[in-house]
Amino acid sequence: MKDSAQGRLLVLGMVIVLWGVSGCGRLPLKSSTASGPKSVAGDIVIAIRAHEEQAQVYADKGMLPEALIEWKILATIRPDAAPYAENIRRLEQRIQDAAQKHLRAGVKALENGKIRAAKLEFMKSLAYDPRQSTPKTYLEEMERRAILSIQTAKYERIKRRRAGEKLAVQVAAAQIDEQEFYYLEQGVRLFRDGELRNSIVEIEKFLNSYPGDPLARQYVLDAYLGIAMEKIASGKLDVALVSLEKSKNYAAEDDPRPAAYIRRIKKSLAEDYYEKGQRVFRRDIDRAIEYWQRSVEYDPEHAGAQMRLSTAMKIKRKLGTLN
Amino acid sequence: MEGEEFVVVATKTSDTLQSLAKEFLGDESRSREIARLNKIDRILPGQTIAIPLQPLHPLGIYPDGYQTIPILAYHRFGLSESNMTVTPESFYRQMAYLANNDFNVIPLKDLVQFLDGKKQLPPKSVVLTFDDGYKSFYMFAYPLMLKYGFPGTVFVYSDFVNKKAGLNWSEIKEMVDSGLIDVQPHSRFHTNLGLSKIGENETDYMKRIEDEITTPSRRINKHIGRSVYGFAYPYGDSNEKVIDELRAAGYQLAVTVQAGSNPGFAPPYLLKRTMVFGGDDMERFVSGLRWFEEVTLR
Repeated sequence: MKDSAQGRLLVLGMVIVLWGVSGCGRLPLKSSTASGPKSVAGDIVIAIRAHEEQAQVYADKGMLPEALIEWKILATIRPDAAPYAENIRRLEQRIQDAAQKHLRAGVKALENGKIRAAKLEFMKSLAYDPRQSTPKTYLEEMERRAILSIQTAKYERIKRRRAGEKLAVQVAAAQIDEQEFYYLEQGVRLFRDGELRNSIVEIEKFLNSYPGDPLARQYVLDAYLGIAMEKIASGKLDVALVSLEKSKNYAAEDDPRPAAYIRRIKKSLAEDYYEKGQRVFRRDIDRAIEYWQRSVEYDPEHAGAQMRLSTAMKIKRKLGTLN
Repeated sequence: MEGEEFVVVATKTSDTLQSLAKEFLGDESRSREIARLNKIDRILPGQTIAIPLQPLHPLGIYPDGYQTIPILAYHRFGLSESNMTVTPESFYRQMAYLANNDFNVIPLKDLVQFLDGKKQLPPKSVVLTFDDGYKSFYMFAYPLMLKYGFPGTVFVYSDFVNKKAGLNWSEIKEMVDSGLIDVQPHSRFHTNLGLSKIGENETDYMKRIEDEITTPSRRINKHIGRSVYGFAYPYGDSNEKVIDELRAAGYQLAVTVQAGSNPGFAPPYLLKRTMVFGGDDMERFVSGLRWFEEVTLR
């Protein structure tokens, strides 16, 4: 504790000691009008009287924990006062008795399947003594089971739906009841707004739980194809190919589009890299080899690239030997 | 005078409830506890004031009912409103409502001690959370959080960080360094942890859970230099195995998306959260702010 706090506690302590020395074993009930420590003493007397009265009022009303607080404050002011300590001991016992009575009632209600009554009794037990662990554990466990049972019901629903319902239809009908559907709804909205990449992010969250949903899969497929078309239009065939490869995962078995687009783009990329190799061959054989290798990767049947690559490799080996 | 549970002091002219709370409890926001115990709303010189050194109402249980803590869950922000997208205007109205109606927006981390009975929370406490880690949080919501001085928790799934619509680590660090925002994991890939994938065996399922739980915490630690304590289940879904993994990994609480507020005896790994939807009017928003359940307990 800081010095200033210790100082003010010391003054207060000295006042209490002075009472004891001057024969104030039983605390005076009137305030002093004198200045200095005596006026402080007067304030303390008033405070003590107020706390004693308040403790009695609480006890009369059956508000035992509140009465206990008042006695504990009084015992802080006068730690040597035996009556305070005795009042605290008695009250603590009564509080424990009341808390235990409600705890037993709660356990009995729970055994009889009366969940609401049990919950109320456990809370009443805690209202007497919130530091007990047993009623809190009961309440936590009841709440835990209630929440997990709702989640288990959801998993059963998901398993049934996975079995083949066309779920996205529900979104159109606004029958949304799970977070997965909010993500799907958001994804469809983004798709319609042309935010294709963001729409995929959201719809894939839906597909994490419902991987077989055909309409959701169709949205992701169309989004990937849409991105691929944009990239093709801007000449970024490599990037388009990445989107098309991903789109294959969402296409129905009888949908020929992704595979056909991929074939065409690979042919085109193979030709591009073949031409690039042709252009740099005379001044940079390593670069040319790299391009033709990529050409062959995209189209293993590209005869021109195969032949050029083979020739270039031979030349390179000869150069290596000469060096 | 100082005992184990109380300090009793004579007040000086310069004392206020806040200064006493700071001096004796180390936190001026706990001035309410002093005011409530002494039934006062301000300090006068020469008063004898009792200061509680321990929470008088751990778990927030009172004779006339019990405190509950609403945790609100937001996702995206944007101009085009939808269930998952709240407009900046709506968010502004909601934050203004909290500020103007004496709500105390508290950090999620405060719940750890509250649920353990070690910290008393102020009345009308509410927690703000933001799922997934959308960049739109940084663009639209974070400036308002700064304006009001409201703390909040962003739950990121780490695979989304640095993606086009996702926050990047630099933005996350900036917000965390502000002292208002903390970042906690929302899995790695945002898969449903509550049930296995089609064709996934038990071993692969358990591996996936472990990866989804531990990888994002490692990444947050690596990029932000903070350890984690809280987890948001993707889709709010969990089960016993997931909870066991979280506990083993050192997490102290986890949140679902089951609507409702949380009493002091709520299960720490299945905390309720109320989703805020784009189309919510103020009436629905306010209905999600239940902070006290009235019931006669004594």
